[in-house]
Amino acid sequence: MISGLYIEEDVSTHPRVLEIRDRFPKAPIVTCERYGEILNRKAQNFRLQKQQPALILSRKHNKHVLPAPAGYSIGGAHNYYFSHMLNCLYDCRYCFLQGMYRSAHYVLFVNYEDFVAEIAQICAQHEGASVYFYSGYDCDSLALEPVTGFSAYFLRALAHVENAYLELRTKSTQVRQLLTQTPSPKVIIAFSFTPAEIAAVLEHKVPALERRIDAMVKLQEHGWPIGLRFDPLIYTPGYQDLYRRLFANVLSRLNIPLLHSISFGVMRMPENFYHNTVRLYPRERLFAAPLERIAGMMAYAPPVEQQMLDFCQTELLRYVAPEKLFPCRF
Amino acid sequence: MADAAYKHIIVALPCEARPFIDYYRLHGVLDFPGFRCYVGDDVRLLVTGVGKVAAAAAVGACQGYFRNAPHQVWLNVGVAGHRELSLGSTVLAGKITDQATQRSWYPPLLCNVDLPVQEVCTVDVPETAYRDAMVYEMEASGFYATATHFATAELVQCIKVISDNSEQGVSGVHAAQVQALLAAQVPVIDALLARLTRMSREVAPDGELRALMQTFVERHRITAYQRRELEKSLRHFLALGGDGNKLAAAVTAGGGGAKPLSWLQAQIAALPYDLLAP
Repeated sequence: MISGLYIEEDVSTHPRVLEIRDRFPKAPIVTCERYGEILNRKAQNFRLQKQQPALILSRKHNKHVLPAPAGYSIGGAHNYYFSHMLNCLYDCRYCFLQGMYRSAHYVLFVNYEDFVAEIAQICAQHEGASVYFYSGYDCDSLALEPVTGFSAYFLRALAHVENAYLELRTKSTQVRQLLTQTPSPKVIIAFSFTPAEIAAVLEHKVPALERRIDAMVKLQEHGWPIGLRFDPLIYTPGYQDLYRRLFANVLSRLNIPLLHSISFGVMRMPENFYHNTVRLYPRERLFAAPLERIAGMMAYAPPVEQQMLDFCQTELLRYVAPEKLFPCRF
Repeated sequence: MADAAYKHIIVALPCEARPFIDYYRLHGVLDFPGFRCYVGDDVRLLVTGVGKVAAAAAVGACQGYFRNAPHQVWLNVGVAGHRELSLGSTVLAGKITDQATQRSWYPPLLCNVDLPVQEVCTVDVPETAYRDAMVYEMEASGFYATATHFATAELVQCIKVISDNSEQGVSGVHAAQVQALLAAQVPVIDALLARLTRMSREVAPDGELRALMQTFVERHRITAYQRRELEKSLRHFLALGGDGNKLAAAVTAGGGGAKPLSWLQAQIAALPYDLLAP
């Protein structure tokens, strides 16, 4: 459910905009000059907007693709990320987006062609080497697929860029479109999971764990490379048992030799985003966890963090070879 | 600062105010400076006079007088003109543009509100040509720009009732007609205010936290920095499921001594962290 559409004048006749307008015939439409007029305004409340987000249709003018943060890799030497969308359909309490943006409205950049052109340009600079592009950094890659047609377009467009690898990261079950396509070994569909008990208190509006596992299994059976993302790892007493059961549940359903990669990393949030989020949800127990300020980030105390990483690594190594395992350390 | 959520209705004219004064049984505030102000149980109404400057000044005066917390509801209601819309049509502003400065504001859109959304253009003199398919009126930009200094934008909205159009121009609009147009929309506006009030509760200050702060501050002399730290610690205490009543009782009985913050930290340390605790 969206409360309405904001449309930049510049893209008002763009074919993707016209298609999206048709999907929401009753939605109020408001024109604007630039999406920042709405997204970046002061005196907005992310928490209230999250209950009735609007969709902003916009054009991204520059910096379509950026280098991925250091320490983030699933095997490639060259790592980049891009965001065709800002903000997410889901409402996970640990998510940095709620502290980063003033508004919870979704921004969709409809000029996909410009993203693909920049990706192709970067790949040309790294000729002969695999280059990884992550799409689920500022949004969920697939959750709004029926509206955005993002994966349908990008998979087709990037098929011709030989050294481009694409990670689609999701918590959704929107896999229908992918199931109609011929799988590509260069596209990893990465599902992120937390234990069901933790998801129940922190991951609002996210489909149930079992439904997501079902969707993931279907994709693997169809031939898509699957990635598992246990990120962020969330601390609570007895987390070992929760994660042990989660790993067993997820991995028992997959054909492990075909699994592309598993990455995992503990919860951390830039300090200012953390404070913004606490202001929105002052009674949220997650933020009363044993967190410390470390190099501008709020993270679990180092011994807790290390213990969690070690535990998960040991557990996951029971299922997969070390070369498929990618701990995220910052 | 008051923590109760009030609905503020801002109108330009006495004839726009009358239906609300009657419906909410409002009474005048005699010492309100500069403007006519009426109050009821949880409603405050201001009659600003015509124009964006007057609207902005009235909102500022209201905030100064009542010292509102930022979760208050503000609604600008009034008549307006539109080229095509029929008389009596009621619209919610999705965009407000000040014609003189070409600056725009975007009152956040609301789900499940059965009102059409329109672009509103605030003009300095009455618009008689209705050049664009916009809602023309004279207060919204001043109202919105000012009210969003004091409240979060989601709770600041603007609703306009069409009183003139290209067939029946603004010169024919008179007070009794305006009053009747507004009176017919009171149930719709009341429902919108109720909706905004429900939203405001979600972002209201934490009453328990406030009360605990007060308990500490009354018994301990603390600096502004310590006050911030105290608030942070109390929030932490409550997020961990600490019992605010017991804490308040302990403070009242002398808990904390000369070092209330250290004492509070010790209370927090004694609370186990368990994300999944009921």
